[in-house]
Amino acid sequence: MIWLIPLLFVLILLRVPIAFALGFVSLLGILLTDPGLLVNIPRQLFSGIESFTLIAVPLFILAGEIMTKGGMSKRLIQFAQMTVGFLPGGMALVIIVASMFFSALTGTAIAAAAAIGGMMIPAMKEQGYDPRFSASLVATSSTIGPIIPPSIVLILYGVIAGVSISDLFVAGVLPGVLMGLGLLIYCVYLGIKNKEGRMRNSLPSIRELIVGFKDAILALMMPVIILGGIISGAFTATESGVIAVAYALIIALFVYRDLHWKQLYSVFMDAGRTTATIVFLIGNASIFIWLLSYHNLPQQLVDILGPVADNPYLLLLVINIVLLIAGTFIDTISAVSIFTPLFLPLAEQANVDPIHFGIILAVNLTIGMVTPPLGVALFVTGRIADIKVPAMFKYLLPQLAILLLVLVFVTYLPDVMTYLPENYEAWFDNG
Amino acid sequence: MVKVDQWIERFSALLMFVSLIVTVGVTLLQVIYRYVLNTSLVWGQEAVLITFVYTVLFGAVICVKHYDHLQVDLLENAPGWVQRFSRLLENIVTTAFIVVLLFYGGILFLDNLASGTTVATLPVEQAYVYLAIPLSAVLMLYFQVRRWVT
Amino acid sequence: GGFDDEEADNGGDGGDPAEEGDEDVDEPEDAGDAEVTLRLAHSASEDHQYNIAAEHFQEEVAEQTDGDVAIEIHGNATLGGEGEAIEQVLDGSLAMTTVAADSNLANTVSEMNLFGIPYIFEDEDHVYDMLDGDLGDDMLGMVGDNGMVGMGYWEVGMRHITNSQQEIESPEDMDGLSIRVQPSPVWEAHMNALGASPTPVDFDELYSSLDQGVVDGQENPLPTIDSMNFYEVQEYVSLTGHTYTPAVVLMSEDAQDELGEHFEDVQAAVEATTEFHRDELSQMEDDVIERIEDAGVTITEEVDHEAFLEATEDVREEVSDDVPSELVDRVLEHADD
Ligand code: NA
Ligand code: NA
Repeated sequence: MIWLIPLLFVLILLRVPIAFALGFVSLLGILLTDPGLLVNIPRQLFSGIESFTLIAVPLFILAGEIMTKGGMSKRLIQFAQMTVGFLPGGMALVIIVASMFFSALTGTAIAAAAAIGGMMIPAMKEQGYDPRFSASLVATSSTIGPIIPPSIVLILYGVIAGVSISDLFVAGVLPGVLMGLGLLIYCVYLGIKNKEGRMRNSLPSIRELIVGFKDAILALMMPVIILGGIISGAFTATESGVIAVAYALIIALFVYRDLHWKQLYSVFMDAGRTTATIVFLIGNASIFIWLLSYHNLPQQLVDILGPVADNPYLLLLVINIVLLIAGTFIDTISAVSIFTPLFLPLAEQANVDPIHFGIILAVNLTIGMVTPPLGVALFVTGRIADIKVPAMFKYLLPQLAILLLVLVFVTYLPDVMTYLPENYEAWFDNG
Repeated sequence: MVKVDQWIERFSALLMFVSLIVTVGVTLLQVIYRYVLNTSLVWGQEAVLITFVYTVLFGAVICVKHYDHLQVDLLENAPGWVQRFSRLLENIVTTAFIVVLLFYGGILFLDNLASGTTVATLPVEQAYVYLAIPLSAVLMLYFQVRRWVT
Repeated sequence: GGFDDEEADNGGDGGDPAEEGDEDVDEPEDAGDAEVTLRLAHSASEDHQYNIAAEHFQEEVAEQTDGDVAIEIHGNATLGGEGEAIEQVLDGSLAMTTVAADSNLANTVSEMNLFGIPYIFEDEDHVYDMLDGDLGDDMLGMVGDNGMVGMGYWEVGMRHITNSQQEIESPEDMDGLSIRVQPSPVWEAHMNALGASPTPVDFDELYSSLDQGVVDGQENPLPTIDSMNFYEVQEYVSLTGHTYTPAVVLMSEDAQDELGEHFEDVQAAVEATTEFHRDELSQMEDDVIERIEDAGVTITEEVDHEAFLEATEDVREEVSDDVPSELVDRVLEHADD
């Protein structure tokens, strides 16, 4: 049965849609052992989709779309410009800070790359920045999006692994901020050292700060509501998702008035289709997961890996390498659906905390969004800047190195990574 | 043919759109009940799960039509025969899976109709919830077969 | 930093499908030379009541059949939640499962809603008398009428109410409390009848909801209150014993055929496990009471059962379509003896 796993990857590399590859491999596995079990294909597909937590997926997609179309990204960029634009590195810092703010509004990286890239790349070109530099920076900064909560990747991991989404979200804050800080320090250094990113604004006046803050505060309230609600235990991820949608709608329709009622139809249709691709895939992954546990395949993987499986340091090194390679070809969402069921039992066997493992997986796989050949974020920013992806390499490499450094940090400091998720509940204890 | 395509797509899109709106609306209603009115909407959770399944499955139909399902494309510059082989493989795998989904989804529907299992908090039989599977599968199959033909 | 050996304490309360543990996936034993291998699926974690019974049953079967029949345990809902497990037993794709009587099973065998009716059982002895007697057999027969083999009753347990506000001795004490229950009409009616407000909360979120005061209390058997650490965030545990949840043991008809003459041995192993399980859990409950009392929780043993029975009498209406009043009467008549 174990040969089904390589077959799955062969099908995927031969361009079979990943959802159907997962379903077909499971179909083959059942057909060859016990065709009486075939009815489990629709049943497991159904039960994989039917999850209250997964409803958070369309909700955070909707909230992000409404925010973007409703003029929130514009205001967040203005605010970032005011707060960090005057430092060495100027506009480059604005990209990173705006991406971090934006991360807290939406669950995906692509939304951030498109929204921030669309505004910042042309603006930076006007100021004399190399578009290859700005395009790669927008892409690397957008990887913070799926790490800082809310995060679609972490929701999917949580559903598959059966761990608390709230704990995962809390655990994502630190690595996300580290990725942002790493990129910030690098750009300040560039700003001081050479002309890249030296362009800066003048210091904002108090008046400008107040006006800008007033404009952005409504957008900045959103992460406060989402995160505050989840961390304090008042809302589940799904509940905070629907509150985010309601809040975004009110702000976009009635306060900023950048969104028109008529646009809502296309916002919902787009969100519906994106949701369908993600959740249909998860449904098919759950057929595959059922097959894995029916035949005890994770246990066979443990046996194959032998001594590596017992040493968490070695195991995580191997897993990280496999994921980094896979992440260069496979998109984040597919990869988390395929690799969580394969690797989580291994990680648990080696006493790796499942929350910690989820963060490793998410950071690793989102880095895959900026590694060619399949760097989805690179395609988006490359298209905006009108340059080919290989042209970005020179600028991309040092930024990638920073993200990989964070990955090493995240992987090998489990106590630091699990400190927040293990302790935040106590801080909100009513006694 | 194109007319039929449009009808099926419109039907799926409408079902997806309405289901998504209801999913979002009832989820919001649940939050309002719980935090504002301090009571609960007992049937809310099961209702949104049903509409969510319909959103996803009929969304998946549209995604078959528009090649939206996530896939890896490393073969862009591969020789022609590799491209043709990959297209054939994609078609076989996808069609085979959808056929099984349709057939056994139908069996799942009939089995549940026979056992009479109900949804706990709603006056609905589980069979009609499962009906979404064969129904969406037959539409997916339609678009997939259209791909063979073209 | 290191990778600790610490294991999360977890366990579903065997109530609703969302309540699935997430730790300690069972490694099914190697089937070895067995003639027949049966998969037994359940939805809970390693330290849950289901698994305690399943592991004992595994040994019993090996013993009773001289190793001819092997049981492979798949816990943690890895083969599906309780609803899916029942469906798979129905269509023969799963040999065995054990599920809460009044949750998903009641969606298929509606008479099982009997176990959702509050306060009709006086105590464990009353429950055991009924389950081991004609009523228990009749209910297993109803499982049979629905296309599965009802093998017997293991235990999720007598359910009790915990809360953060006050001791609960009589129905009035429930007034105004928000209590987390599984989403179902009978639980809603039950809490409403007592003036409490029923609140569905995901089992996974229950600990933090109790901690934050999103709900005042919840109800579950003692082993669950212990394994989920609910006593850490609750002041009062009242031994209301409002309902008893049996873990019904189900087998597929295909598996019965496959077992042939070994079916009797497996049936005997189910029954032997029932006895073991009741003793084991009774011991466990005593330990739990001691432990949570040491943790500073107030345990209320004096509960006015009669008053509660009276206050919740109308709740039966809610399930009258599913549960013939004759069944309820048989339970109540026995109580009068
Ligand atoms: Na995010
Ligand atoms: Na990549």
